[in-house]
Amino acid sequence: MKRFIDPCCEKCNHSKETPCKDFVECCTNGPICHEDASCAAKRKAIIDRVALNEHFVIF
Amino acid sequence: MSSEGATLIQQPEIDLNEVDALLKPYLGKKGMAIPVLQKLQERYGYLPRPALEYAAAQLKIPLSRLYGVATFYAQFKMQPRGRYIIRVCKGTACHIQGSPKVAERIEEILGIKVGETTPDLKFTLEEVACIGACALAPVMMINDEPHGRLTPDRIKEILDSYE
Amino acid sequence: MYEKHLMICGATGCLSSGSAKVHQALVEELAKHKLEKKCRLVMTGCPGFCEVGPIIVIYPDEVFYCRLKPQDIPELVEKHLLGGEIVERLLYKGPDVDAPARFYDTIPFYRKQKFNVLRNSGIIDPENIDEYIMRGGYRALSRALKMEPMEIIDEVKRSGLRGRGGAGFPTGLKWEFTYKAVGDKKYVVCNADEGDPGAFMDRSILEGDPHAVLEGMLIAARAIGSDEGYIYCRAEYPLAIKRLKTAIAQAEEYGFVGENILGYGFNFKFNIKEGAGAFVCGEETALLASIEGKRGMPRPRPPFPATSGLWGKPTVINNVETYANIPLILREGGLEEFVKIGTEGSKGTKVFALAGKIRNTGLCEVPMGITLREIIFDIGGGIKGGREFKAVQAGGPSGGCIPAEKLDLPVDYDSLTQAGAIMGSGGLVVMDDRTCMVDLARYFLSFTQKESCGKCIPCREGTKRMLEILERITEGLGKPDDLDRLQELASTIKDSALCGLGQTCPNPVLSTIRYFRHEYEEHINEKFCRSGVCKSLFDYFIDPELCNGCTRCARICPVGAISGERKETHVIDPEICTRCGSCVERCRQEAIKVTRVRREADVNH
Repeated sequence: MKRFIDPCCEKCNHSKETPCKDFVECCTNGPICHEDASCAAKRKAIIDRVALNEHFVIF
Repeated sequence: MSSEGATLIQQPEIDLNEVDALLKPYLGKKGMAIPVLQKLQERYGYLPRPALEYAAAQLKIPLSRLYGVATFYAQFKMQPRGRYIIRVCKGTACHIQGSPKVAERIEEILGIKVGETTPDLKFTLEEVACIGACALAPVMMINDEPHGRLTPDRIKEILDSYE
Repeated sequence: MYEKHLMICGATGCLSSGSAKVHQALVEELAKHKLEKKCRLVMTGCPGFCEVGPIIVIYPDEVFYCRLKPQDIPELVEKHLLGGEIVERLLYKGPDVDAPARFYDTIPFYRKQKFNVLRNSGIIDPENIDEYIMRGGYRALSRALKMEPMEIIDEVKRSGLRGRGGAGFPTGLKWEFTYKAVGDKKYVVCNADEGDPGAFMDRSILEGDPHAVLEGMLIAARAIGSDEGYIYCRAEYPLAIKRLKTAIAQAEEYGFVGENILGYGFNFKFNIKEGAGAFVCGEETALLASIEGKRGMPRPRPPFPATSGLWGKPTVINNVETYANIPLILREGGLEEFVKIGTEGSKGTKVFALAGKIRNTGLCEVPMGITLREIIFDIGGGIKGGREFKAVQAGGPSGGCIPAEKLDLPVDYDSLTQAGAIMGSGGLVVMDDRTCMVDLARYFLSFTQKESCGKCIPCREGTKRMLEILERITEGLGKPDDLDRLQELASTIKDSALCGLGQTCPNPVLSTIRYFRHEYEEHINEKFCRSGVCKSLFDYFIDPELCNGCTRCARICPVGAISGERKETHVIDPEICTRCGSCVERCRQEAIKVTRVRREADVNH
């Protein structure tokens, strides 16, 4: 998962053709539709790569 | 609104097949007159009359209307222009920091007025409302290259650096 | 994981002062030290302080390096990135700080600012939608999609947001009119035709945070029931257009634009239209005509675009900065935060472009209600070269000049209008004692005259007549009744011109007559321009008390009007002098002064 649009696992099916209402929330706080520590870590990794400091991400 | 130079320059021949290809993506949509003119000007540097005639026919609007649109906007030129377009910023910040003196010096050196092109088609001198680089006032652009914090005595050296 | 983030300003101001070459040098230097994996290099939007560009801010340390040159880069990389030590030589220095300053905490330029609209500029990579999402982006859209149109409109109304393009019409009300208008199709239009000379706020927002504008437009579309929008942007802003196109493509890929957005059955598509260089297209009805492919000429209102706009359909038009405010208001808890800032009648912040004879040129965002003095002296650092403040021009060709005695005026829509200026789109051009107010009025009139579309007679002919009078005055041919004539023409144009631009174009003349009448009278009656601008109304002379005979002026003079031996007082021959002013810039002693023209035939004027 390099970008938020990439699915974390096969359970995520957000795309422009099959949109998920929780997508924005999911990017920074996800996953929402299932619980999986490794999926959450994948999202965190995207944030950690580009976040400048601890105030950077606004929840 | 755009002023054209007094010097009449021979317009080169253009290939209408190429114009046809340029127009293709714009046909059949509404409000395309300005994008078409922008495309033609991007290709030729000005709007050659045969290309305008051809475009009017393709867009199914009278030539007079297309011409009216073209002459309304400062961006469109009806005469060939020089290889280097000098745009002197006439924004407020540039004005109060001496851009009129800069333009005057360029006119003296090149022997042309604002809106005109040197006979060898090297330089065209234009004014632009504001390029938004006010921190560097007064500013001019030569093609895409900005020159800032100008004083009249630096002009000759800058112009000489263009071949 | 990156250890350092190097945010280099890639906006037009810094690019003009050479940030592309600095960027190139950094790429090479990072490669040389194999730091590419540890250090991230981003071309960002504008951090505002154009005066000291090119700028790099290094995070997480928050160190601000300025006035960089490519040859500074090896030292910067070696000391800061490898050695972990701050390179003092490249920090911000100035008369307003005691010691070299690091960033927000210590640079006075940033201290009084409040970042709302510019919250992401210089902090995110504007070409990466993920970073916008991390900064809270598209949360407001997600929330708005769950709301009823009137609920969205109601929040915008309660925020007190007024149009940031100049006139200050309440945004929520405009949306409500368009929502209630009957039409099978409705449009959302963004006015990015920033034409006021000396203004570059909208360009910076588009270059630094394009998604904020898209999100604002999407929310507007949801509120009024529109499925298509246009962004009308000046062709002179190629970088802004490129960033917008990138942002739209990414938003489409992510499902924020297109069909069935986020699964709420809401569709929207964006079109970008490039302007073709006509100031009048900043007026909303002219802008719509231009999108339709016609000559950009205004038409009478009513009908307002809210009921009959683009291709006759109900249309909402707002400017870039207005849309960029919307996501802040609509996000969870945003409304409460928003209304805390500003004054009773003017809520939120305003972005201003500081230019002219001010020390810190650049872009600043301040809470409404701050005084002009704070903007010009605390943020702007006062006047360049320590000269005397004369006036500040606010609002461009539709605005007016505000003199020193009004500097404590709070910046809000109503106070500025009362003072004879307008909030305008946010250009502030500062003038010192070397700016001639009559010439300035002439300058603005020549601008509006050239840009007048010619449709209505008051603007087309009236500005021409006013300009002729002003030209006469600046050439020394003014007559005693000229001021009355100017004021009469001005009030006729104000009352009878067709569009907002025509009606406001006499403002620069009226406000300069109001506050600087003595300068006009001096030009007309005494044939003297004390600021040394109107060439036939002054002579230069060299003060023998100050001249040290350094010969710099004589060497620079293009017409050989200055004579004098080394170490002896120099003299200017007014017959030869063209008043180009090169010598004034050159003289280190400030010995070259402006004086009245000595006229032999000066007996009967």
